[in-house]
Amino acid sequence: MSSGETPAGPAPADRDETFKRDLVKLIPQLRAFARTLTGDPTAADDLAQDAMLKAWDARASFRMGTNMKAWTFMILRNVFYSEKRRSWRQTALDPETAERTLVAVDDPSSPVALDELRQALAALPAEQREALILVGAGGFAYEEAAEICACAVGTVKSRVSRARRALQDILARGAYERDRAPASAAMDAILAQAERLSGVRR
Amino acid sequence: MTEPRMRSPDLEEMKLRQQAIGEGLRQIFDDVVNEPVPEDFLDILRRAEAPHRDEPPTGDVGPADMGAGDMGAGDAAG
Repeated sequence: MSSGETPAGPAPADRDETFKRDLVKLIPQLRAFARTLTGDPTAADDLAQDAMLKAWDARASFRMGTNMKAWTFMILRNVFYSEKRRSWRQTALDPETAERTLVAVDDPSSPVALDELRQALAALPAEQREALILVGAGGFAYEEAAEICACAVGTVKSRVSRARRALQDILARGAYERDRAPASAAMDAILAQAERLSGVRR
Repeated sequence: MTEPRMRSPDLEEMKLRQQAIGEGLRQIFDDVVNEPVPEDFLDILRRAEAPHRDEPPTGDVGPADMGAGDMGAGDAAG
């Protein structure tokens, strides 16, 4: 008669095994979230490993059947901020770091050049970046993202929308600087024509 | 100076751009998700699990389930 059995749930060893299996399945997601937070693959894996270990150590406090992905993301985020590895907290990533982490993805059918998007993402304030990634790529609802970020749902919503606008601006600016032409050549033509028609000056 | 008003074609274009950005973000995220997980992760987890089993018990510590022997197993989940 072992005292390890409880009618409420699986025995601790089984529970650990299940927990571990679920945790292992989440590693790719944790790595991806960490990568977007740090912008650096090595630092990201370091962070993801720390988070994974913290999650393992805290497994007794996890309620089986609840959202483990959100729980582990929350842990990862806490590790990221609590350790303040460098001054990542409020600042955007160093553009050089961002550039080094670019992975050339040459897909001409891709509507947005991913390397540019990566750079633009890296230029966002950390809180906007994380909100946007959680909701826009991580598959979290605003409510879940709010819980992960320990803030109000409205705050997440406004961060996401600011992040989206900022990304669009950064990308448009980037396109302008690269091509020496506005992102929207059509708009330029319209403006030029309007100026001509109005006949002011000259 | 007059600023161009936001007309519906612009809104439409903005929507399309946002969609493209959204797809790009998901792809950036999924690219990492789809990378093979470095072995370190599983090693670290295995080591974290190990104290139950590897460390010789000092005195009478240790729960009854110590040594539930499936060492090394459970890492097959990809």
